[in-house]
Amino acid sequence: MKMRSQKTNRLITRILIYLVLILALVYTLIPFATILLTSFRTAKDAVRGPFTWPKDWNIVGNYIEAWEMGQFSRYMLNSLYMMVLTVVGTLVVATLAGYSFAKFRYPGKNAIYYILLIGMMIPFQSIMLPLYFTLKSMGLLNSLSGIGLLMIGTGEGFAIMMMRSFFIGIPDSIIESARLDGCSEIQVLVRVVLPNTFPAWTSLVVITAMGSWNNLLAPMMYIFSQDKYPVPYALYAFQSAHTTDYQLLAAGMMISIVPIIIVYVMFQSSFQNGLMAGAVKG
Amino acid sequence: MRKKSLYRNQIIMGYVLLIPAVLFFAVFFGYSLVQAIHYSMLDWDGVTKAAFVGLGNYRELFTDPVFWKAFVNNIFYTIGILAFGVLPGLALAYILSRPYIKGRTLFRSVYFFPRIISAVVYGAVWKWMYDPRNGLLRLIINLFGGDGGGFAITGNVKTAMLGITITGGWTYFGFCMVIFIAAFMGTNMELEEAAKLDGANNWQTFHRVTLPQIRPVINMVLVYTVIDCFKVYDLVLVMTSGGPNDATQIMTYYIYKQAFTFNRFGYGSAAAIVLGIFMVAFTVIYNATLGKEEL
Repeated sequence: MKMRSQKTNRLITRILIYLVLILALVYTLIPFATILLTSFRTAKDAVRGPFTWPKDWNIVGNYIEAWEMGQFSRYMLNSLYMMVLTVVGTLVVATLAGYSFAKFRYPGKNAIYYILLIGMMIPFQSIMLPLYFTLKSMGLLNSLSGIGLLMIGTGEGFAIMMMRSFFIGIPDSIIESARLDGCSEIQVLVRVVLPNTFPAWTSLVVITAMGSWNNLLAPMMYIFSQDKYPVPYALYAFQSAHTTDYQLLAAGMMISIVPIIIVYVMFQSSFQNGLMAGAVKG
Repeated sequence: MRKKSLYRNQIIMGYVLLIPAVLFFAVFFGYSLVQAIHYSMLDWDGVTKAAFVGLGNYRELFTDPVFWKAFVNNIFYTIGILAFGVLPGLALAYILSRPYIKGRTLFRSVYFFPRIISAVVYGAVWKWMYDPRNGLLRLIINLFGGDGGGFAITGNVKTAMLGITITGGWTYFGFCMVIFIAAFMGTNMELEEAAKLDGANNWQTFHRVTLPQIRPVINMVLVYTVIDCFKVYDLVLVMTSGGPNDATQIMTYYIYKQAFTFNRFGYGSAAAIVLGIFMVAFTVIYNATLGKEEL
């Protein structure tokens, strides 16, 4: 008898637990479902509001219209360019510096390391005003390259820290034996160290790429020509111009999030690990 | 002889590898930081000649009610994120880390999802949800017999910040869950079993046995959360642009507005420096006191 009631208790607990989990799931997905459904409605149907059930469907029309009206092909290329520049730059800078901090001995090493880490503590918002004039004096204002480069400079602290701790985990003996075999330092780096670095790169690539793809503040501050807008800024401008065209806005939002959804589904553990590392170490 | 030159090579190589990092840091970060401190002591519109005012900007800043409102709003947002983001994240992580849960990966991936989307997207959808004319909140309030059409959560001075915070929490709980679940999976389940055999109930076991084991992770999440909450910008811009009547004014938006709306680069820089000092001070003090055990 007692056995049985214990069993029922456990069953009830489990049902409650799954109920909570499913409720949280619904809570998470409602906004996404709203965007998706709204993007499939006709203009006339969407006027009734995003939280009515669709009656007239227009599966691809809104996407074509939003794509052309919002000029998303151009903005996607802008974002892509900025992202590639930031990601490649950060990888190069952080890999070299992380390797240096982890595997070389020279005077002033710790001091330089801690100075570079200051960039992790002081937020971009604290230096964004002078940065405007720094970019201006270098001719990098209103330039996607300018934003890509500044994001390397402001984001490298974290990346260097991550790469350094990765390289510390690589045994010195591999490097030593390559040196004794007569490899120059450059040969050691290219032939021995870099081929082992790929696993550390995935998380770093994902976190840097996402930061770049979603960046709104820097483009708002330093980009003035509409044809140079990256996707979030373009979407923001599009929203301001079409506040009540729900179906077009929704299609625009879908267009802007589909690339990141695809990448997320492909590399979700890297996403989670990368952002987690950012929190735990930052 | 050979060994000595090897060592010298290493010193040179060590420095050479640092060149790009130091260069990028110096040009885009270090120089700007020094300049920010410099600007914060100027009365300057960004174009005409600047006048040196010493600490005048700081003095004005600390007597500006809007600046304090922004600061208090950031604190409100932080507390709200702890309630709507960190706590639910902790609870869900605990549930999901129980060994008998099926579909753990699915739940985890979906909860995490909002974190990867731009605020321009989720901020806009949440604005729809909050819309008193045809939003979801209206439907829910009406369902319980209230007047949903008369309640604009982000349009009301009293509730606007709450509305933003709920949205912020929605993007944050899954992220916290992913961090906490890794911590819970690393805890010693045998200790829990032992506590239960000794007659501890579920809450006691959780509170006394499981939670202390993930204390360092909780500390790290708290520090990160405070810093993240003081950096918030996109969400406020998209949902309310600081309004109504400065009710959702926050530090970052305040800095932006001073410089680019009112052309007060010196004054805005002073606010930016205060924000930076606050964050560094918070991190250092927290780690030296409450977060000390982890070090």
